[in-house]
Amino acid sequence: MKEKSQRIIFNILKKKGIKNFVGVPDSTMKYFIDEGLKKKEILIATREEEAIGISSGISMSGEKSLVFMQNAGFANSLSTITSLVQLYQIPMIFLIGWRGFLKDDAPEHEKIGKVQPDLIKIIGLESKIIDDENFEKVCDWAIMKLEKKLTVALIIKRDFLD
Amino acid sequence: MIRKKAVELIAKEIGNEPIISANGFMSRDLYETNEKENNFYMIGSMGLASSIGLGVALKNPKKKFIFLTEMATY
Repeated sequence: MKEKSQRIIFNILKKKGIKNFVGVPDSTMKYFIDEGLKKKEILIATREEEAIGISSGISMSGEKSLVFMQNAGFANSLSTITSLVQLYQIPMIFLIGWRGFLKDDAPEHEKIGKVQPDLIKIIGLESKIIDDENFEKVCDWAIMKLEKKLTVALIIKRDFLD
Repeated sequence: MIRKKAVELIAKEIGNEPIISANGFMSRDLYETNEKENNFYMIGSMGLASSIGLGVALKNPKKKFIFLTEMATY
């Protein structure tokens, strides 16, 4: 996703009331994170589960919260999402970078990258792919869900190789 | 048995402050000995009571919260 889109997404979500951005960095969304760091509104955790735990505490305190992570970290967090976020119905937005989307991405991302859409589906997490064309609509959709106290995931495809 | 008694004594001492308790026996013991509306009983997500606590504390800097955590017991 383009640098400009990523920076705009951060600012749209912030403007729509998300005050807390907690997560583990992923270079797929590096400009999104950079935008937040510049504004000192990003909290970096060491593990994705930890970020989800912090975000849960924030959400329980009545503030809107987003957790960002790579899909490798999403796979790490399946049990936390099902046994904490979904069980207690704690609203938050997940922003997930999709490594392994391209066939020739790094080998460690191949397997989880392939099953990424199935993993999300199988735990019953509503999600949408967010891209350069649809990001405004998708941000609105995510905020609308969050205001209904629901949890959703936005997926950014890793559409480049490095 | 000893843990349950300890949880009961600690919870009594804490009184009405909100308590976030770790999964497993800790939450069960707290529920049985000192149930109150502002407690949070974490029953899954092993290891995350302290993270949830951090999130809550960050947003409520003037409020006091107690976190009961433990090592795995069996």
